[in-house]
Amino acid sequence: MTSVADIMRAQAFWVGPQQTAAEAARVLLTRNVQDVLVVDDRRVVGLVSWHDLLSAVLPGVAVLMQADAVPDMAALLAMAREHVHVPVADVMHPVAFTTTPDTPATRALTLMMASRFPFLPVVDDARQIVGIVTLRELLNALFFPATPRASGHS
Amino acid sequence: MPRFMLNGAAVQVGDHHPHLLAALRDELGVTSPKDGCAPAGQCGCCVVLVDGKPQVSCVMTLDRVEGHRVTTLEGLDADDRHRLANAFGAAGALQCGFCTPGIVMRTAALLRDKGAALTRDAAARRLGGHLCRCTGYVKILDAIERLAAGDDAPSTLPQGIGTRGVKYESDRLALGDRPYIDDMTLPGMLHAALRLTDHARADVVRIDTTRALAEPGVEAVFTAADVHGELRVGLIHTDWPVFIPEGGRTSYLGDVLAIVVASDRQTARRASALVDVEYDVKRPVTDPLAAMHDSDDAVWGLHGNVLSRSAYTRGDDVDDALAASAHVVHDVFQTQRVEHAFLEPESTLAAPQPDGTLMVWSGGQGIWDDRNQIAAVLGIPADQVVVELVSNGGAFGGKEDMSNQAQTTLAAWLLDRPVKCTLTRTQSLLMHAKRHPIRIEAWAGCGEDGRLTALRARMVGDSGPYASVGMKVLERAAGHASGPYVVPAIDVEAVAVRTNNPVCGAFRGFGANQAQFAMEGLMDRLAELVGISSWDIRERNVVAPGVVWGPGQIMDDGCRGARACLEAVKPAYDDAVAAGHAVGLGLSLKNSGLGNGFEEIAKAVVRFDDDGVEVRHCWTEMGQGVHTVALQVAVEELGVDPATVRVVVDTTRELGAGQTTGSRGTLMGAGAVADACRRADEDGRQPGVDYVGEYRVDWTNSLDEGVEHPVIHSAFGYAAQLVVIDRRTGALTKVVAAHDVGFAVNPTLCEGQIEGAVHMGLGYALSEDFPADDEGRPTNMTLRRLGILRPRDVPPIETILVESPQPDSPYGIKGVGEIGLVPTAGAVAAALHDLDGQWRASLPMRRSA
Repeated sequence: MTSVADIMRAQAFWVGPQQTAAEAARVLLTRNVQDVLVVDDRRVVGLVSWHDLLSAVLPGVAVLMQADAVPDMAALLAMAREHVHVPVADVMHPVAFTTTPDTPATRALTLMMASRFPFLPVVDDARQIVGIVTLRELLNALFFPATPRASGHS
Repeated sequence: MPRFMLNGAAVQVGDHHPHLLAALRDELGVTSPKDGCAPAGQCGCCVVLVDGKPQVSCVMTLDRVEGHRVTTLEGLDADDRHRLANAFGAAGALQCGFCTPGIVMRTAALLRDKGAALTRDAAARRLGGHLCRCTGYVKILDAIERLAAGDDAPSTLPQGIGTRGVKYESDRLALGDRPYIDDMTLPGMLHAALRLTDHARADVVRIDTTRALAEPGVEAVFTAADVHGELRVGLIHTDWPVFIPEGGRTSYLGDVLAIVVASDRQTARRASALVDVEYDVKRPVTDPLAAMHDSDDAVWGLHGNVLSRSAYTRGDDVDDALAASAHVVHDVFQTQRVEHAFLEPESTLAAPQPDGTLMVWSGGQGIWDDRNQIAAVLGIPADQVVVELVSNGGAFGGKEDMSNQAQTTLAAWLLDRPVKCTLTRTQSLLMHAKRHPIRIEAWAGCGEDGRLTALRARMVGDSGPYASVGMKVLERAAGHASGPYVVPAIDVEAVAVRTNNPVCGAFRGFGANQAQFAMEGLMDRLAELVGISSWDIRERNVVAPGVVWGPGQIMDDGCRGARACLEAVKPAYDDAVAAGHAVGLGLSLKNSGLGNGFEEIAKAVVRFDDDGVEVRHCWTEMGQGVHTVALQVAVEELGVDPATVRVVVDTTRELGAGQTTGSRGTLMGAGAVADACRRADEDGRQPGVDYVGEYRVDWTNSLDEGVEHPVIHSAFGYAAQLVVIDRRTGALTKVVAAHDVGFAVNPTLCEGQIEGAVHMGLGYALSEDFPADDEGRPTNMTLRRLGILRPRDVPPIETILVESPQPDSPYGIKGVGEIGLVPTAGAVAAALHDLDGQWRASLPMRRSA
């Protein structure tokens, strides 16, 4: 039976809780992802998303942007610059689910459906992070086993 | 067997618990961490410290705490506990109290780490993982600021009416010591879990309980076949089946098929999934407009899909009046379905007593209705059932209908054992009634002077399958169609339609929100055509004593509050406009009390005993503070020490007046308690005697009576709200909320009602949504997906209490429960229009095409 160990990627990336919102945003941009894990001393302590970062650096703005209100870009940037040093620890939210390398792939899929995140952290017996498993690779492994493993992003 | 240090002592727990929270609550009996959504980790109610760090305990598996230090509020030292509880109480930072222990726990850690350097902004960000549905976070952040500043001025008990002072049971709520139903246990108690349907609309061919019953630890599984009394219940129509039987048909995804009873919670929940059901799946009816004319009946056993039609016309012919108007506007408004998201999932505990009665602990909004409906399902006399209210962890209308009371009591009754059933968050989201999505097509006209000439509104509300109070919600929407304005010609119709979407019913505002989002939108569109400000057009049309309003009611002196609210926000409005900000204004009214010809009677009992004074009333405490109101009235009238007053609500006295709904608890509760106090005084306050008082509203009229000027409602609350957006950044910078409450019994609690409602109203305007797909299946099925605003997204809320007394009301009280979010969405839409010139007609706010 396929387990997480067969499909996880070991070269996971993350941010630390004391890194700033700006640094986390740079990770999201350069890695082209929507969320990034927050890891402290190799332990998963949370997850931070675009929405978390936007509401942190643009207090009071993010909700209105959903209503498609278009502000003055320069003023927006000035406001964001005032807040980009907020630590990630202040804006992250908890991670509800983790897997281990032994977790069956089907169980990992169930956990992803429950968490609604397209990836899960993989931790070892000491609860230290050893990688991540992505929905894309999980689906490939479970339903399209002949397809070469995608090397794309989570 | 996992071992860890709990509050300084080594403990060992079974390894069957899915997470730390379950081990704490179910095995160790530590109940200050609350379970709002386990195992999703999305509400923050269960935060504890692990090695000193705040952690959401429902996402921590036990292997992660093996050998570590776990601290709960029970384990903080006495000084810290007192300091935290004192600050939260003094600031009014807790209402229902269910989210509070988690927030207090995080606060303790924040203060330890940052001390006096902890800022309000940082605290707001750090509370991002905590949901609070009552306070709008304003007073929570006040409390944290107070603690960071080292301000430990002692909180005080409230005195008579009009005084500030802490909420009833404040300290115990803050520290998680006041039990909610799920915190309660009884000797020999069993746990139950519901099995819900898998399809919104399907014939139930067969229910097979074999596999569930075979599960070790399972005691029994009950279905419709075990119901010997009535199968259907309901507050107005008895159309809501407590179980769908074999041969029956499901009508929405909250329908119950079975209840599984087991020795423990996890077994019951696991086994509930083993109840096998064979379905014949049918096409669900999900489009309310099409359903009105659909020959296919949406709901099992009921003919036709139109639940109700409420209509009235008054004054001149609306077509003629619109044709003669200088300006006419027309738009189609569409509001969304919204979930209450009270933090405490529904829970019921029932225990048969040696004397043959059945004792029930319920958090419902009307425990006498609960009692009567439970007795009907069990097929026993109502006096054989005693229901005691356990003040609940938030309701907002969502706990009016029964949830699991009937199934849980049935199980307890048949097994002759205590049984507790607590819904999972998923089940809670599926089962209880939501806020109606309403499509409102409306036309309004005015003269060159901006004075309204005519209004026509056609409303269609998607009520879901069962009646609940859906017809009343649409009736209220119709009644409030014209907002607090004078309209000489009016023609309104509101239809409630049955579908297989999530059931809709009572939710704070009760139709007034939807109707006045549309009306305020029309007012702003007209103001633009006339070329006057949004303040001016409201000032020119606002109701005044003696005018004819809405369906024909002649307004009394109480309505002076509408203008008073408008005047109260004027300085802030003028300042914001002068500063160049984008500004939106909303003005609204909301009835207090059911009105519409109902005879409403609230009762209360005052009784003196060795311990002090017992005050019994008929309303549900759900965070809003009605127990505190009862206490303050007793202190006012009797002159007793507030520390000696106990407040009780149970069915051992016949005080029932229906649901705690319609913003009437404070008004009618105060009247009834005051009357009981007067009777006690007349009799010399004899110990051990029930002094029964009542407050009666029996002078309203139904629209059907054909009275020319019906008194539809005996009182209204009024509010003007100002929403300010920074034009450069697009940031929501401020909300000013001026509310006429008639008289504020406890100004701190009253502000809390308004702040919490504004938070809810901003979410309603901008982000909250509970849509369902073509199969009637809700798609936002976790708390995080509901779009509830986080603390850092909430702008400063400036509350102005206006006290324009209601004639003939106790102390002039009007009520504040619902009005707080009625004007908000309209004000946000107006501010956004001021920002970019686009009218928005649908919620949550999207730009109109």
